[in-house]
Amino acid sequence: MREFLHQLLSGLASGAVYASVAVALVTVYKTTHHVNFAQGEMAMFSTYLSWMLISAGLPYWAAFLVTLALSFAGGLLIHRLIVQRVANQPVLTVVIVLIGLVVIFNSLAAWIFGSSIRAFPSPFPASAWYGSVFLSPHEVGMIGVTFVALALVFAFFRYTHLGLAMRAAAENPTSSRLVGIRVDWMLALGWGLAAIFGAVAGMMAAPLVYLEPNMMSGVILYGFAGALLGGIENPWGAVIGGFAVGVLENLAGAYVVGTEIKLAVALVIIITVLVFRPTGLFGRRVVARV
Amino acid sequence: MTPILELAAVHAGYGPTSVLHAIDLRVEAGAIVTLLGANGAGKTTTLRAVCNMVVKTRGEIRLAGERIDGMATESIVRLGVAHVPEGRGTFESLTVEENLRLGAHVRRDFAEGFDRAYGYFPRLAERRRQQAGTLSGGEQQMLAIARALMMRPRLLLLDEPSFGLAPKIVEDIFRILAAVNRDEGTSLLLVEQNANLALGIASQAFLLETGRVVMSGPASQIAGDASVRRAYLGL
Amino acid sequence: MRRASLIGILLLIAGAAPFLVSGFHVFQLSQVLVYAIALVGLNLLTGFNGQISLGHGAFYAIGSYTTAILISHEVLPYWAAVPIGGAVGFVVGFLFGLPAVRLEGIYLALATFALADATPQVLKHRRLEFLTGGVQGIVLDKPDAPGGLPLDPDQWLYLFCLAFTIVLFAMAWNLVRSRTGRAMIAIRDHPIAAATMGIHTSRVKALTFGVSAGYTALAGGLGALITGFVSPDSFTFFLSIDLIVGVIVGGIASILPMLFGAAFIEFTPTLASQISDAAPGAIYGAILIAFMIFTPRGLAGLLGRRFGRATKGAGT
Repeated sequence: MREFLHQLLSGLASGAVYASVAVALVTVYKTTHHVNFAQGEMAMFSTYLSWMLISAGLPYWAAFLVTLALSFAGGLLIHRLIVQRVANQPVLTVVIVLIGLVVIFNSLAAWIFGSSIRAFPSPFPASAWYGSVFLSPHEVGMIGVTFVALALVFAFFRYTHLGLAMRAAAENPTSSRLVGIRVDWMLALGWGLAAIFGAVAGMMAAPLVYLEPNMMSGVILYGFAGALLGGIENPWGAVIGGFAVGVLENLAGAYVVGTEIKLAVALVIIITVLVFRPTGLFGRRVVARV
Repeated sequence: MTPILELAAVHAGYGPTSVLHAIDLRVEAGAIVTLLGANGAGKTTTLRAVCNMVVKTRGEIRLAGERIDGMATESIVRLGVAHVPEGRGTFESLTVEENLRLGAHVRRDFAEGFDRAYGYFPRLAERRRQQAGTLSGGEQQMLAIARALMMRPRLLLLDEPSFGLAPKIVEDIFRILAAVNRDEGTSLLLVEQNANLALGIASQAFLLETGRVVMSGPASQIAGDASVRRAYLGL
Repeated sequence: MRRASLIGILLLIAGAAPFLVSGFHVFQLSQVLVYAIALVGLNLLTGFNGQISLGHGAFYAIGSYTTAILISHEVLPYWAAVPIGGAVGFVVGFLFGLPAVRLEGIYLALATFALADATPQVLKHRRLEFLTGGVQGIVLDKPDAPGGLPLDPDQWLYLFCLAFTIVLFAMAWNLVRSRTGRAMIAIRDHPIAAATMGIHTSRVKALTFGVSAGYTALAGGLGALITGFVSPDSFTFFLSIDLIVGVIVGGIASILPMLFGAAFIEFTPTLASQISDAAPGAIYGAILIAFMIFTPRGLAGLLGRRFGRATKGAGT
């Protein structure tokens, strides 16, 4: 029973990372109807940036915030300069552009920072009052930071005018233009926000998976699965989906198959869910008018 | 006085097919102009061409003398053109108040805007926190117009505001449109299938048939024309 | 230029090629043919039928391993093992396609991606090692040319692949022009209308999946032969990504341009590392993005409808 609880809670901790990535993917999908396959690599790059800032002497949380700001700007620019140019092309064309970005980021990171595996600091001490035998202080902290980020973004969308404009642009771009909203910039902002979530995921995961160019390649798939499980247009679904995937992965690994093919097992479970509920657990069925 | 809107020899359509052929049209500042015609005549396409929502292949479109063809839709809107489209275009998952707030996206004078909007449409005030998608047809039309008015436009484009609405509601809406024109000086370009109603408040009318202007002139003259009366006024 | 003359010229060049270049380059040309077959398979599914697959590397692997196992355990000669590999791929593809008809767009993309990602792990699994050779894989001997023909193994294998390429391209060409082909395209463009016209949508979609997987698996079998070995790490999800890149660069819903797509995925990585030793991936990614910005519908899009069949609506 203790063991089960441990695996469950541990799953929640990794689930926090997947939830962050899932929210990033849903943010981009809601605004642009594309899945940003490059989200993981962008997050990895952000994490390297934060590592550089910390190595240069900046205190952790200062580096954290600066990284978020830089990631936001980066996401925005990438959308405006590259993704925007193929925005009206068939979806597979955009997919190839995103694949191109994945390869570029991965290669640049290896070239600039080297492929060696590095340790990454955690802002949470090794032992603290909020840690326990089930969850390390870092894991608790991870979950906490994720929730703070989610709450802030939720408040942004709900209570600010810019958040409202972004929601409008996602729901109905044509009507948004008719009230003077610059829809292209709203899309770019969506990318910027998604990049922030990716950066949070990367910096929270790095102390556990270590900093190296391929650190996010497993995470992105789980994040994607979590986003779909929750329903690709639903940010709350993404959160729940991400945590669910984390728990599922851990339990499958511990009780069913061992670590080698726990990935495959977790995905099989998710796909089975999708076959029975094709729009995800919390997705809305879109009724097509013929 | 420069007309608030002028279309000169405009050809436009969707993709490679041309719907409008050599359209000449003008709206004098402060006037109400109506665009009449049967289904498929090109009335909606004309409004969309003004906002650059279709492919324009030839001609010029001027707003108060300045060319606006080729500009991004949202930039044209920011110059003071409000378009209440076919189907209303409300943000269905957002509340009435949020819809109105978005109408003031450019001006940001929310408090004044709300006062004015609720002044014209008290029904909306009652429903301000309701989700727009759950409003009745008439209320959605009111919301669409109110949202357009939030921006205090120089030119208001309306695409079939009476469509699918009960006569009493339509009467209310047209009364309000006339008031807005009179009190705020907003010019109106009104597309309507209900020719009687439109000719009632308009000063000028244009008649479209298969993408061409076949008749134009003062509203009273068009209303008195025998062929128009037979074809469009059911007389 | 008339299409028939162009095909004639291509065949001439293709036939002469193995005698004009040496050893390793012959192998590369064979690999291009093999990829081209795999790309036609994927394009049938994604381009003509509108079902996105990010996991076709799995079917390539299935074909490769089936062929390799049949040959190394001396069950069948190589020229029979390859088509059987294709048949196994067809069956697996069809079985995967049956439940997959319920998944649309990105959900299908995820499911197929999961398939591709899981493949190397399954291939390495302990329980299957007796068949798959585990992490080390299986080594194959390259067969000699039959009847004492004056060809070295690489040249013979090239011609062997060429024969399959010609036959399979012709079959695909016929398929997309047939009733079934029109049904596939109709399902892609207007699934609801297609169903109301009496097209059995699920059956056609599942069959298309099967045929597509069969093509790619057969290509995998040929690939195993020309490379001379199979191992789990040859079939990571990068292969699936390469295949989809090849299809898009060649052009969605086209057949002949798949040769261009195949050449792209075979030669561009090398080109990229020649341009930059330090960050070849960055160059490759930049080339990909540039291609998409300037030729968003691939080579077939550039050439218009001459070689691209029914591209309208494809991939949107």
